[in-house]
Amino acid sequence: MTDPSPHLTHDDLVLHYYGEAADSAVRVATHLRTCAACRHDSERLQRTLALIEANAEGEPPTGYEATMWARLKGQLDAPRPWWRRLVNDGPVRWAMAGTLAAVLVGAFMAGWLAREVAAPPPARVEATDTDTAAAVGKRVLVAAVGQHLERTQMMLAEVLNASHGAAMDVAVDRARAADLVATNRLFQQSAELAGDAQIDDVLEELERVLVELANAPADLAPADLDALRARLERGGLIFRVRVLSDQLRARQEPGPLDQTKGSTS
Amino acid sequence: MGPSGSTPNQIPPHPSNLQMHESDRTAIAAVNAGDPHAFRALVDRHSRYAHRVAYRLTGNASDAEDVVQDAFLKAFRQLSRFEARADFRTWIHKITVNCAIDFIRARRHRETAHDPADLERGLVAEVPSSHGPTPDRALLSLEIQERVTVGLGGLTPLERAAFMLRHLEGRSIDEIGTALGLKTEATKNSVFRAVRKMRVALEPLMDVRHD
Repeated sequence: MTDPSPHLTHDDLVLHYYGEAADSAVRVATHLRTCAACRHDSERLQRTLALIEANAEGEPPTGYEATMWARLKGQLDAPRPWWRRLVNDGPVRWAMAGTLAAVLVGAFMAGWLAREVAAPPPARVEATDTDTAAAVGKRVLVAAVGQHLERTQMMLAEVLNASHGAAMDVAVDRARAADLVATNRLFQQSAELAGDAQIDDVLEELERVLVELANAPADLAPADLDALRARLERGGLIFRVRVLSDQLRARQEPGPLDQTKGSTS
Repeated sequence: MGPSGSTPNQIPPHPSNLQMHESDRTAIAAVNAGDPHAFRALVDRHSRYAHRVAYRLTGNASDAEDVVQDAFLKAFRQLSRFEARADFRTWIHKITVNCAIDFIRARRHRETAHDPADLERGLVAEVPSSHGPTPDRALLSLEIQERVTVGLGGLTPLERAAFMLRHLEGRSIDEIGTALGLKTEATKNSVFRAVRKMRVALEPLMDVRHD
């Protein structure tokens, strides 16, 4: 992108083609209007890429469907383990998810407290006599995910609020992100088991950001920091996390369980 | 598909347009009611399509078959969640792409570093040089197919995955990087190298009329 040549580079044209030129979009578009050579090159690139679209698919052989069914059938017929039948059948899904979440919260908090003595204790969720097992499980998961989201928000807020144009030391954030990835993934599995699509979707998107941060260099360059910020802001991820966090907090506040409220699934 | 921000053919149109096939609904309801064999109707109707999606990303028929099997197993296990979703094909497409990404990430350790220039030189040598352009459309079509296949065969698994996710799945560079565990610059470079190699492979066809 720093090519001193007045002509556009191959990389310029590729980014332009995919609409990923961002910072250089205006420069590239302007140049293409005035430079016949680059316009010609751009047109050839478009034609090349168009050819690939129609010819990139590998057609499976005749009878593929029967072969695939034969491979699948044995696994579908296999008796499901007792825990999967329990998880998949009926309202006990929530109880199972909640139990799993409770175990995860315990394991996670044990590790968290071991590292950060000053960290606040996890919120206790107490069941009333009228609670059903499913509702208890759901509430435990809601409380645990709510805490997880708040913790994640705090860390990401530091990234969002870091000085523009300056590198950022993210060594500590990387380690925290790595911890949060593992927890995030387990909560996502719990939400998936419980069939809660809203939590599942937000955690899925959040995982990508956390993975990116966990794998970032300790000294994050301004450009990479900006890219991470853009990712957080694109699609309103932070906003969605805040909304979900608020919703989960609201669902914890009333004494009686939210059996009569709308589920997020 | 078009340049500069257009969205490539992320999900090809379903044969029955926007409505989920009625027999899909019937099969899903039967499976959810406890008949696993009803799942066969979904496999029969969508596994070929899923294979094409998986093949684009893995570049290997055997790997694609494993990915499709994994995708349909996941779909089977999560089918009770499907009811509110619009279209089974859209859903299985997403699951297949995610399974393919997992597959590619798992085999990344087999990826070896190459000098792009060497690969390009190698690719040029691989492209049959005796195939001059021909006015016959059938032959031309075969030649295009052959050159695309050779070109894609010259990509490393990571280049192919990054390129296909960008070019055919419409994923952004950032999304691809996250999915494949690459930094942004590394992701861009994978796409750049892939496009460069494909241009080398297809360059001889650029002056041929395709109409």
